[in-house]
Amino acid sequence: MTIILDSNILIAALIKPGIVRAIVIGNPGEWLVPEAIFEEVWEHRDVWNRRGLPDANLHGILDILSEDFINIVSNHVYNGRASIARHLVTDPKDWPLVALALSVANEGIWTFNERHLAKSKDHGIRLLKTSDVAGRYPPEP
Amino acid sequence: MGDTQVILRVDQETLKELDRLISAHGFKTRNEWFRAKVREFIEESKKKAMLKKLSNLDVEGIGEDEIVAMVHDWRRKKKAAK
Repeated sequence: MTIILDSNILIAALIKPGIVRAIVIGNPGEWLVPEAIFEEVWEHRDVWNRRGLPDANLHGILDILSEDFINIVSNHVYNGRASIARHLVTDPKDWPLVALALSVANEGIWTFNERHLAKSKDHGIRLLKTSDVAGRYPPEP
Repeated sequence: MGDTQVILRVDQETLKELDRLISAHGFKTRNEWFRAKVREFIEESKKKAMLKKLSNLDVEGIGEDEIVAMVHDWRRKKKAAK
């Protein structure tokens, strides 16, 4: 089974040293990220790349991340659930997370912000806190 | 991809001990143990290398709320710019 990463979790894995990164890197292949969310994070790299790494280095890091640790799921896999997903999110940009959760087998969406996805719970989608995920996927020692 | 044969040299005493431990750890053959250890070594090496690369992006002290606000802000600005 796999867990879907919200954009805030993906950014935490990238820039925040600590448990989120340790879990994601320590358990390769367990994570799904909708293509639209991955592209959005790349598009706004100037915001989170506070250390000012050149684009070539950032691109290299994200390439390895997507090849060996997380699975980027193509839009066409979840686009068919877009209309229902759009009704289940507070922030319109979050629809790919919910659409993906409705499209493939998964254990839930890992997020720092459960409130903005709360309506998706009515459709059987589980929202996971870091403590929930850490119980199932222990961080590397 | 086809398998490639790998030949290792090791002294008799070490090999005897190795065989005992391989069996004790539930591996049926040396080959099975070797494959598992190679895979494990590659995976662990990739993890270490990735963590080292990610450390170049570290923002010390950044909180979860700050990351949530970061995403919210860029979306708000993009919407306002349209």
